[in-house]
Amino acid sequence: MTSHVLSETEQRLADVVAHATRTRSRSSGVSRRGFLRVGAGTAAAAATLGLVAKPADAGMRRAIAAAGGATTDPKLTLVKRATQGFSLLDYALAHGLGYGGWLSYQINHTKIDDSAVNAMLAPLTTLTMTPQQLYDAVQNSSLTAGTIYRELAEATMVRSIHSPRQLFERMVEFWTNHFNIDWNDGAVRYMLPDFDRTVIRQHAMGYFPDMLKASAKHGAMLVYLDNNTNVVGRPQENYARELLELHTVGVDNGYTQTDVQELARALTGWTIENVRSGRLGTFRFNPRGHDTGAKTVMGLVIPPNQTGTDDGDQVIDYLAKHPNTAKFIATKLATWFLGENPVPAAINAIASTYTATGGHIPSMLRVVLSQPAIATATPKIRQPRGHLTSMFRSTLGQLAVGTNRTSIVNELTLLGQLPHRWPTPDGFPDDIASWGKALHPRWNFSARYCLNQVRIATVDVVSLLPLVQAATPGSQAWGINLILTGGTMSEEEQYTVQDFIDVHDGTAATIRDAFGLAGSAPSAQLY
Amino acid sequence: MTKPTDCGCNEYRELSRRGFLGVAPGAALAAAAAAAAPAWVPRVALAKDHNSARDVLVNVFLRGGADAINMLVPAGDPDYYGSRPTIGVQSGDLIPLNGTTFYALCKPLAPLATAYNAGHLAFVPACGTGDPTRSHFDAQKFMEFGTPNQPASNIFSGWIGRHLQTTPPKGGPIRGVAISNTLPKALAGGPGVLPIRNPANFTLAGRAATADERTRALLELYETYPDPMGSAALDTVETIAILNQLDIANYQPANNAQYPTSAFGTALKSAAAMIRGDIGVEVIEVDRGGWDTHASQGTISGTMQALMDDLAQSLAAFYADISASHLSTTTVTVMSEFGRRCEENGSLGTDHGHAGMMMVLGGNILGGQVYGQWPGMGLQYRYNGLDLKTTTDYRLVLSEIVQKRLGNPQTAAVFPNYTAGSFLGIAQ
Repeated sequence: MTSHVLSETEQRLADVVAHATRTRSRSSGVSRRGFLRVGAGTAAAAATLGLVAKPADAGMRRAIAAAGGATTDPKLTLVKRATQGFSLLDYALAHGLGYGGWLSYQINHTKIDDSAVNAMLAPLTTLTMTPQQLYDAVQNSSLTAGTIYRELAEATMVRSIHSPRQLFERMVEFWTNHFNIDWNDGAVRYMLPDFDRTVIRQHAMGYFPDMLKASAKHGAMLVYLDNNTNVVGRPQENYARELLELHTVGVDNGYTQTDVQELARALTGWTIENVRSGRLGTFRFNPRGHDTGAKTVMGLVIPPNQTGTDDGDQVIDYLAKHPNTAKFIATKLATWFLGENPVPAAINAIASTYTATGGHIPSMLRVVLSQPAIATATPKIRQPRGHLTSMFRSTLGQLAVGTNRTSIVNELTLLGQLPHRWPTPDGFPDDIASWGKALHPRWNFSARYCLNQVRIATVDVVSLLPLVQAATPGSQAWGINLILTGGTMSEEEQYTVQDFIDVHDGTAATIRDAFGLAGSAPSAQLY
Repeated sequence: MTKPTDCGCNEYRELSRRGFLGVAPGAALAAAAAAAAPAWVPRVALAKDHNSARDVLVNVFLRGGADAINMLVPAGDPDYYGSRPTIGVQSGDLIPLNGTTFYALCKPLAPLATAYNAGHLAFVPACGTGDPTRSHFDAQKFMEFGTPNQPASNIFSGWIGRHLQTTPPKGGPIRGVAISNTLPKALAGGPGVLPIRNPANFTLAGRAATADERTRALLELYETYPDPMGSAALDTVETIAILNQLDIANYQPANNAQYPTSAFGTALKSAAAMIRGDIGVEVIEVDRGGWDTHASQGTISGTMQALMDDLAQSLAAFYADISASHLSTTTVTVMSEFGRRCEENGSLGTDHGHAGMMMVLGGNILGGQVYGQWPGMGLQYRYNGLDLKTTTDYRLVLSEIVQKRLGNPQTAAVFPNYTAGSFLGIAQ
C-alpha cells in the first residue's frame, strides 16, 4: 500500500466519486443517460457529505488535482499508464482503493463486471464466428469482408473506451502489437477475429509461453507470416525469423542466419486446414511437408525423426524459457508502461519475474506497475488511437456501434491509425519521433469530437464542466484541465484556454471549442 | 490580427508566427491568374524563396525488401534461371533496355522505359547498405539513419533530416513533407518536416467562426514547447495556410498524366502538385509497402506484378507530369532496405537477402544507363553463400545526389562515418 496519507477531506471526496462510480456502473454505465445520472449521484453524495457547502476547501481541490502529476501522487501516473485514457472516475476509485488496491482490482480483471460492454457488442456477430463461417458468409454475399474489419475495429475501440477492465484492454493492445498481424492480408481477414479472441484475449493476462504457442499454431499467424507454405526441401524463413526477432529473443540477439534457417526447418509442415475441409484456418501438421532431419537452433539440439509437432513445440518451449526472451519481453513491457528508454533496474526486475514465474503476465504487471517502477516513468506521447480513447474516457463520451459508412473506422483513418491494420509484423511505433509531428489529425479530432461532430459519438462537455467545478472551484480552464488530464496541464496552457473563453461570450459553443483546444494542447498528448 | 505579409524573405518564419495567414496576397494574385488560365494554377505563386540551386528531392522507400532481381532482371547471368527455376522471368516477358543486353526490365515495369530511354532514369543494381542484418526494421533504420555497420551508433536523425539541418533556412515551414501518418526515420531531425496523410485535405476542422482565434491559441499552446511537437505546431499552421492556397484537391496534372488511383499514385500526384506549385518544399517522401514477398510472388502476374504496376505507372505519370515544367529541378531516388535471396524458396517466393537496387530519376540525372557492377548469382559469388553481394554502397549514390542536385557539399555530415569514393557520375 502507498505511504501517501489521505487527508480527511480527500478521503471523503474520493468516497464521493467512488460512490458516483458505483452509481454509474449500476445505471448501465456507458450510456449517455448513465453519465447524466453520474452527475446527479455526484451532487447528491456531495451534498450528503457537506462538501458543497465548503467550495473553497483547499484540501478538496487537492483531492482531485493534488494527487496529480504536478505533485507527487503516484496514483495519477498509475491510472494514466494502466488505462486506455485518463478519467476522473478511475482516479477517484484509485483514491478510494489506494495504489495497491486499485492495481489489484485491475489485475484481477475477471472479477470486474464487463457485461455492459458485452451487451453493446452483441450486435457485432462476426466477432464470434469461425474463420470458415466468415469465409462462407462472404462467399454467399451475406457479409462483406469490410464488415469483418469494421466490427473487429469497433469492438477494439468500444472495449478500450467503455470496458471497466482497463488494464486488461491495455494489455490486449500491447500483445496485439507484439504479435501484430495485418488484417488486410488475404485469408487473414477471416481469421483475425478468432485470433483476437482465442490467442490475444485468451492469454493477455495469462502466461506468455501459452500465448506464444497459441499464436504459432493459429491460422492468422501461419498465413500472415507464410509458415503455412513452409515445407521440407526449400524451407522459407518468414515466420521463423520474426519468431526470433519480434516474438521472443529480439533482433540479432543470440542467433545467426543459420539459426533462422534451422528454425524454419523445425517448423516445416506447420500449416492450416483449407476451405474444402470445412475448418478453414485450423492448425494442421502435415507430416509429408516436415523435415525430419536433425536441427540445431541457438544451441538446442533437435534429434532426427521426432513425431508430429515435437520439433516446433520443443524449440518454441526453448525460446519461451530463454533468458533473452525474458529480457526482451521485460524491455517491451517497461517501454509500454514507463516510457522510452526505461531504467535498467525496472527491466531487470521484470525479467527476473518472467523467469521466476514462467512468464506469468500478472506477476510482471505487479512489478512494472509497482510504485517504485512508476516513479521512474517518463512522459509518453499517446498514439492517435490512444488520443481518441482518452478524449472519450476523460469526457465520459459514448461511442456507439455504427455502420460501414458511419463507424469509428472513419475517424481512425483520419487519425492515421487503424487498429489491426499495421502492415508489418513489428506493430505500431510507440515513440515520439514517429508520432510527435503528426499534430494536425489530433487537433481536428479534438475539435470535432468536443463539438459533437463525430457522428457515432455522443459527448456533452458543457454539462460535464460545472459538475467538476462544483467539486473543485477554479477557472473553467482549470476544470477542463482536471477533466482531460487530472491536472497536469501547465499554467501557460490553462491561461491560453481561459483567454480563449474570456474573449468569447462564454456560450456553450465556446466551452466546446475550449475543450477541443485543451485536448489539442501538448500536455493532452502526453501521459 | 496582424497585417498579412507576402514576405519571401528570411524573416518568413518569424513574421508568420505573428501572421500565419501570410500568404493571403498570393491568393489574390493567383486567383486572378486562375481566372485567366484554363489549366490548374496554384493559388499561390511563391510562399518563400525557392533556392533554384537545389532540386526538390522525392524519396521513395519500398518497404519490405523489394525483389530487385526480378525487377531489373540480370537475364545475362548464367545462374539467374538456375536460381529461380519457377519464378524466373521468362525472356518473352522482358523489356529490353538501351545500352545493355545483360539487364532487362520485368514487363510490368515497362512504363519506366520512357524515362530510361529519354536518359532521365538510371538503375544501380547490387546496391545497398552492406549491413549484414536481414531484419526489415533494423535494415530500414540503418538505411534511413544512414548508419549501416555501426551497431553502437547513437545517431537518431535521418540522412534527409541532416541534409536539411546543414542547409538554410533553419526552420520551416514545409521544407520536408512525408505523405504518411508517421514521420519516416530518414526525415527525423530535419527542420520544417511534417508527416501529412493527405496533402489535398490539410485544413483546420471545427467552427469556421473561431478558426483564426483557435489557430492563434494553438500556436500559443505550443510556442515554448520542445521538439518535435513544438516546431511541428507552427509548421502545421503555416502549412495549412500554404496548402490551402495550393488547392491540391483540384490539381490537374500536365501532359495528361494518368496516375493510378492507388495510395501511392495519389501521393505522387500530390507531390507533383506541390512541386509544380513552387511552394518551396525541398523534400517529399512517399513510401510504398508490401514488398515482403516470401510466398507466391509470381513473375508477370500476382503479387510482384501488382507492386511493380503501381510503382511503374505512378512513377511514369509523375515523370510525365513534372516534365512539363520541373524536370530539371526534380530528382527522385528509389530504394528498399535490402534485396531478396538469390534462390527462390519452396513457397514460390524469396526470403530476405542482401543487396537491392536503387533507381534515380530526374532531368539532370545521367540516365539511360545501368551503373555499378553485377556481382553474379552463382554460389561462389554470393554473400554468405545465399545473397547478392553489395557492390555499390547506397550512400555513394546519395552523396552524389546531395552534393550535385541538392547543392549541399556537407555530405560527411549527411552520412557520418562514411567516406564516399569516386562518384558514379550519375548526376550533372
